[in-house]
Amino acid sequence: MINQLRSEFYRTSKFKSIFIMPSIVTAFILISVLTIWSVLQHFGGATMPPGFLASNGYTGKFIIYQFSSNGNLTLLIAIFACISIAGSFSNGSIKTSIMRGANRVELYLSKLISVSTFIAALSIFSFLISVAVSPIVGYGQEFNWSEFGGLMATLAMQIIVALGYTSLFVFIASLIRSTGGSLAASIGIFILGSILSAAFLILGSFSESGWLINALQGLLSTQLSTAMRIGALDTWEILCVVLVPLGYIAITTGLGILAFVKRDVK
Amino acid sequence: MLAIKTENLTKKYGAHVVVDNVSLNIEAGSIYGLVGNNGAGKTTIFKILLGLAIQTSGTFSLFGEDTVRGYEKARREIGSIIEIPSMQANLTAFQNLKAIAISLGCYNKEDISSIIELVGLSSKSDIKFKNYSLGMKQRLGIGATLIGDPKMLILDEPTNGLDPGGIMEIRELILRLNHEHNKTILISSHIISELNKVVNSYGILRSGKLVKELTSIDLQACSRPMLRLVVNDVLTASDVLRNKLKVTDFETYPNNTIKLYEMTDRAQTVSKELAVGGVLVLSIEHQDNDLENYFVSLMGGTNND
Repeated sequence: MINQLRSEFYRTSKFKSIFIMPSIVTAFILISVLTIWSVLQHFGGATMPPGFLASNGYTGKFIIYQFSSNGNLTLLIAIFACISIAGSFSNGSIKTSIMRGANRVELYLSKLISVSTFIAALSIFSFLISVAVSPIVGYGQEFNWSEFGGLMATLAMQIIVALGYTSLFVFIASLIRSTGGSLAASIGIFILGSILSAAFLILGSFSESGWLINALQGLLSTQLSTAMRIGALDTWEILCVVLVPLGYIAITTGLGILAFVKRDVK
Repeated sequence: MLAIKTENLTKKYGAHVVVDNVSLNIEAGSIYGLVGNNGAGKTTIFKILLGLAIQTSGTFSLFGEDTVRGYEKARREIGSIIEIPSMQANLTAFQNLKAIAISLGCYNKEDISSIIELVGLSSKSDIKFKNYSLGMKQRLGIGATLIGDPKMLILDEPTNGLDPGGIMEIRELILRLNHEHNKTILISSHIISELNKVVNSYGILRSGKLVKELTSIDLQACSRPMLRLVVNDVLTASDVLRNKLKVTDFETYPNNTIKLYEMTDRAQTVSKELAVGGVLVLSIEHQDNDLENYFVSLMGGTNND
């Protein structure tokens, strides 16, 4: 397992995406921050009440919470999982590993761990960039240990949700085994999750039983929103944001291994 | 000792039987050629042995190992190419070999460099795999099989895409690995004349079935030039051949057929002596059986579909 894992890390470290994806994340965050900054500069005077944008939540803290783990990062996870996992099926490198005696369970886990490690690193990188640029729109004065604890909790929750998505997309890529097909399916599932999340929320607001609102908790997109929210979370929300992604990891990994072990590799 | 033994190995895709009750016996230290038309089941057998496909029924052992864990252990001792060599496109030759070596726990920079040199890619080791020609990919694939100094090589059409010089180099490499390093080699190829220069045992497949297993000595015997005679009385004809013509190297078959391996260039004499001995010769035909014709007849004709 250790040798297999080392080999996967070596292969992963050679992907161009290792450099391209952090660049994309940095560009997204900088563009967003500079847009908000220019709006603040423009409307900060006579035409808009002073502090209007800030009072509506467009602060440096908003940047940290929202931009460090938003939908763009989820799409990047889907792209990376598909390039890495489905790509190794289509270029045959997974075939080479099996032919040289790799255990299929260990091979699947090694691939999942190497992709997850990159995604966790990307989440941390994205978070750090967000923290670094947030003073541009006024974050920093409120910083204290309590604030630090809150930020770390947010980072941890965002990483857990990101890993839930990673496991789901790795599972999809290992089932479909073609880069294009698995990417389309992953993005489709991500969009479907967002649509369901919105639909459940609207329907749930009219429902008396509240089961729709509870059902929402089963979606990763809901947990992503929770992890991105500014302000204290209650115990139930914290439990959901931790346990739901872990549930996804357990179920998709189990199913992924089962399918990988039973199916022929072409 | 058998390196590979299969018993009634069968693989079906739905109702389509690709490999049908194949029982192979591959001796350790031999060069075994698996021969058959396209779709005969050669690659599928290799895939089953290497863990890429799961057999529908039947069993097999690799170096005596016949459990899942045992197969994994044995496969670390088998270097293989199936169809075209499979590597990560964005990595160079060196990086691809390094990744394989790391996974086998035997990475050593010098070993990788010497393998690259052995397969003639030293000057191209920094080029990415995606930019390699088919011949270069094939060479690198063969290089990859040598990582970890395996006991056995399984090579599916290893000379695909190689120029004549490359084919000769690979042939010499295969012979050297077998003779000097005692590696067992299981190889498939469509180029029978090429295969015949290295292989010492054959398995001939036809539509998923093993038609025959034979050694190169058996093969030479089967593919010798001969006179094929059809007579009215095989017993009398045998007496004439033995006593009058002093011929011992012939075989009798049903339907009054005799295959005569001596005097093959003297059909008239044979015919005359048989007639004198009271044997009616219904037909006499010279067959210059070369290997290719012999294989083609066993494999079921020239249809490659």
